[in-house]
Amino acid sequence: MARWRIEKREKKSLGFVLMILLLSVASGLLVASIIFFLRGVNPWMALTKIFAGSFGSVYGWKETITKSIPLILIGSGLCIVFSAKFWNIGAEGQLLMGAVGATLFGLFLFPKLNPAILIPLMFLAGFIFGAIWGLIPALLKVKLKINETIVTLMLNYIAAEFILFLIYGPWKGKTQFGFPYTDNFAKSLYLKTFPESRVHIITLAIGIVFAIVCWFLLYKTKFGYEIRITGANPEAGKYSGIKTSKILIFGMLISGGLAGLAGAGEILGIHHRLCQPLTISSGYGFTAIIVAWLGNLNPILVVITSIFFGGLLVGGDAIKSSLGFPHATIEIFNGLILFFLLIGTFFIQYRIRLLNKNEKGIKS
Amino acid sequence: MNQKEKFFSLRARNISRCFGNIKANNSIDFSIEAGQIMALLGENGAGKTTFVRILSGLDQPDSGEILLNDQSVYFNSCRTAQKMGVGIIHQHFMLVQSMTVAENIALCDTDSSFIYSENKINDKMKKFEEEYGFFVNPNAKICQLSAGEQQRVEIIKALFRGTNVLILDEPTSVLTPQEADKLFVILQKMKNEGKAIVFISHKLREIMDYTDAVTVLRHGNLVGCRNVNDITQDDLISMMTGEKKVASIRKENVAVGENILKVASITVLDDRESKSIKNMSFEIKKNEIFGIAGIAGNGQRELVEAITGMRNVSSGKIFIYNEEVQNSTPKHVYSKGVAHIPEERIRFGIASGLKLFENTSIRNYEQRPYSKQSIMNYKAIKLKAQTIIEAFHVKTESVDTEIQNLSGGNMQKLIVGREMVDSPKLIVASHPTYGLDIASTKYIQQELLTKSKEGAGVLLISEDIDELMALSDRIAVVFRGELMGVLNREDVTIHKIGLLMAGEELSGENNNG
Amino acid sequence: MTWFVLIFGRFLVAGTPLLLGTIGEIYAEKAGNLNLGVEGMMAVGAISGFAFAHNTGNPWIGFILAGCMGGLLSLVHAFVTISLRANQVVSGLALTMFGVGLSGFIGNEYVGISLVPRFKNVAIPFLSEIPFVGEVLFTRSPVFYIAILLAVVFWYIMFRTKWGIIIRACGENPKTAESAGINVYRVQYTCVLIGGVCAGLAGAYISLYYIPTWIDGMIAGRGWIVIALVILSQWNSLKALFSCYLFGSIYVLQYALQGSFLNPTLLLMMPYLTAVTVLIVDSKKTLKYKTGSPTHLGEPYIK
Repeated sequence: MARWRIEKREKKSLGFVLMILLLSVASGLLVASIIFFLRGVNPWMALTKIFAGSFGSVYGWKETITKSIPLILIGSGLCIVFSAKFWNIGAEGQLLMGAVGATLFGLFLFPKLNPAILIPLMFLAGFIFGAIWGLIPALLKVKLKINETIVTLMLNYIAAEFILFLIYGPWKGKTQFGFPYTDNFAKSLYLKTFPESRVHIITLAIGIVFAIVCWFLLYKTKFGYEIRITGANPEAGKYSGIKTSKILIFGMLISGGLAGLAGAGEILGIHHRLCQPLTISSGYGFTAIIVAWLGNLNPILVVITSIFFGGLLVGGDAIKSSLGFPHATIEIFNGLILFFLLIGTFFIQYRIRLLNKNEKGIKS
Repeated sequence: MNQKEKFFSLRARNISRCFGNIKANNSIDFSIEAGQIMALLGENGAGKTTFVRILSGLDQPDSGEILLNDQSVYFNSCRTAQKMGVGIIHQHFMLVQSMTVAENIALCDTDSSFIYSENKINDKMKKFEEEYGFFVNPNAKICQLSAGEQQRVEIIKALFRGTNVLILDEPTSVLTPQEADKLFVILQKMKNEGKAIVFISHKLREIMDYTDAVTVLRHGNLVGCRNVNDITQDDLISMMTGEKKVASIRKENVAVGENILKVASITVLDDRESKSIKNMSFEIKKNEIFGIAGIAGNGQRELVEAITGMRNVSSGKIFIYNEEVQNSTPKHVYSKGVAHIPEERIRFGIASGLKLFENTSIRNYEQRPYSKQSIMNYKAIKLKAQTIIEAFHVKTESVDTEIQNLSGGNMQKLIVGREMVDSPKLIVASHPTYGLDIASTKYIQQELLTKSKEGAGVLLISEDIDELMALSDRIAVVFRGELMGVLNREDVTIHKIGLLMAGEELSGENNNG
Repeated sequence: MTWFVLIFGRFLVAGTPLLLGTIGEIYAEKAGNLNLGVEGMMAVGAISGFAFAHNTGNPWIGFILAGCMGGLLSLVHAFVTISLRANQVVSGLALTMFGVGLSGFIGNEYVGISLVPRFKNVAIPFLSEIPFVGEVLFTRSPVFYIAILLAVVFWYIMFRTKWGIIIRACGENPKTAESAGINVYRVQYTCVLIGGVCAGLAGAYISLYYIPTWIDGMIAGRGWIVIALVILSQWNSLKALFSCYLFGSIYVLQYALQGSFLNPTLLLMMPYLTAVTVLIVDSKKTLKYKTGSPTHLGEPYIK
């Protein structure tokens, strides 16, 4: 019988970590290629189509950037809570609630307001709604010690059903021929886009600013220091007198709020109304988890990984149009890359040591 | 050997086990025979737990062998050990709290049928209970039982499995004296049935009264195995604590000054809300090192947490320089000049995953120049970290190294440096040299002496009696949350401390508590 | 009367895949492993069931192989979370992403095909002749009977046999289970596998009977509802019978209630809302009311 022990790895250099991260992306692409191959699709061609679709043309780049906007916002926020080891998998719901908040302000509360005031107000409403949605699991964790993962997950679906309730019910548009959307926003509220693209510049700018802010917050401020101590070792946090509850609540306010901003941005910049949850977000809240993780919880790196995964999303459209496979095919890549990231994380933390004969002891 | 074969002896030869560069067990020999009760004695960190884990198959030795009935066996898991009749009862019981007694027994019963039948288990339980003279309600949930009852469930489990060698890890530490007496009646009956019993204990009287022989470990080494009839309690104390060495470090006598810390009849609750410190009072003066001896788990942790602001007191007061600090925050206490070297450095003292310099500011990051308003000044922190690693001889590539890459000794030097570099008024040091190599140990002890000479008061909590005797001006012994006595350095003997640690009164001797 | 039979029949049809998924996930969670990949495993189960049935002409082959595929996927999760101690939540999400993607990819060539070898309703002799009840309960697809039977058998094993004690011990206190000589890893692997097989079967039920055609994304979030239903059923497969069919009926009623006084989407919110409520009740952990949530759920066991 082979004898081995799993031991904590003591030395892990940044280079080693980066190599593992890159390796997991490569392995994900490799296994996906094998699946393509088994199905009789030339993997090289498929990969080329995907990446040509997203990075091979000006149009592709524009779409890629469009899709990476919400990822940047959510991913930056997730860096903060993940650093505190709070597993917020509810960004999807926080995004949707942000969209609800923006719609409430823009369509129902203050539709007459000057756009120069109303647009910022709608973003603010998005932030607040997302933050409140994020606050719920944080409070449940702090007050009742309820595991945040299930709660955040459930809140995703509660938010989605809530939007369906609104757009099929009280908020159903009168000018939409019975389709389940709200009425469109006033034209003056449509966000400016980059010429001939859907890149809503304001949200992109907000995203990049917040990525920098989050990086600054996490790596330059007292709050960020407290987050990282708490995440690294809550006992050490307690020893130094850091209040974990404060950390989690503020962290979730930011993380939820940024997801809410992303939601506001999506409907202001792209949809111009509240519509089906699946239309508002194509799983950004979940993809952002990979984005944050692959970015090593560094919001600046998250900008890069967001563009990569934004590109993958666009690549999904490309293989749909060129190879005829459904858009969901791209999730194969997401899933596999995430699996290999998990496997990679194991090898960052542990190493397997084979025991030599001396150490085996004597068998009976 | 299979279970049918009659058991007559269990031996271990040359057992060694290392964790990192610490030798938890160094070539230990051990032997027990059927119908024998053997105590395993040693201070904390002597390697007892590691040894019984190996003996019961929970851990595997790096080298050495185990012989059952003189045949070599290899326990690759506790399951193998159990099959061969070696079972262990842990200090923390291995019971599923939400299940009933009968279910817990069925879990371990190798004979029970696929369909769980409570009646069958009850019948079998009754048989054992009549044989050994005790009773447990099979339908009760474990969480409703007292510690003693839970322990009896563990014993029934072992009997169900046909255990021949029963190992108990500090079985009486959770029991009331009455329950402990009951336990020994049961163990005595098991012994008469031809079973072998190994138990870990610190309580010398128990060992003298109830065991046949005792094996003593110290610092991972075997000191010896003696027949209880041939020795006295004093012999055991000296075996356990080591022959009196001439201490290489010794505190000079210094005239002590004003009061720094005053603890006035505090009562502290532990996490389970039971009183772990009962109405305790003491004072520490300038230049004084006040040592607290005692077996771990007698309230030391809660005492330290109360003084350093991490835990509230339920009554009583704590003064630092005549200012009340009980029930405040760690940051407030720290700002009053109280340094805290926590026990279990990796668990409490450092944030592994972060860099070295980020770990040096963990206590004072809210003060200038380490942060201004809410912005961190990592440059200043790095500079400070550099000063600390130079002044306290921390071996590291740079201040940017990840903290977990440091060796245990260097990690502890860093913590000590972090706490002491700004000349604190009071140093609360909890097992500061636990598990360290000799050089680091000496270094840290020397630092404590230096600081006390410079005027700091030191509260030193340790299980290493040599260390306490070398460093302390006064030594108090804590037992079950109370100070059994406070001894001045000239009155201290290992014997007295040992007795107090075991919960005995010092009759007619100097006892100025 | 026939209208009632039809509606009740739809309730049972909608509830059955949820039941299959739920009773399997209960096993995984009771052993201490949270597998959020149910949606993905159901998706792969649905497509493989469909593809194998379509190509072999036998729905049973499709059904069984769908279970195998679901099991295979769950083993990936088991390996990553049990052997490699990875975060169970993230691994489950990865499994869902992968499974949903894979099902869409493989299912591409089956889009729009109406399945011929689908499950037919089977009338149980005698019982089916009871008026009303017989038609509703005893003239159903074979999978319905299997699901009900499994739910009962799973309950029996969990609460009345030694295996059940072992499984629960692994989820409550794996150290104790280990000390009792149980191979915790093996138990957890097995239970995750059971969960995967059940999820695969649940998916196949949808594509072989419920909606016997292939539509991309046809699982439509049922996997996530299963996660909520496990909590709602308080980790008890007899209670799951009740909660799954209750929710199955809500699922059906949403179409009937469209545009009526009661907004159906608020009903659809119920399983998630009640799941959160159960967790809140659970956090109080009074002895009087124990929900059965495994203490060690979601944490990797390190020997």
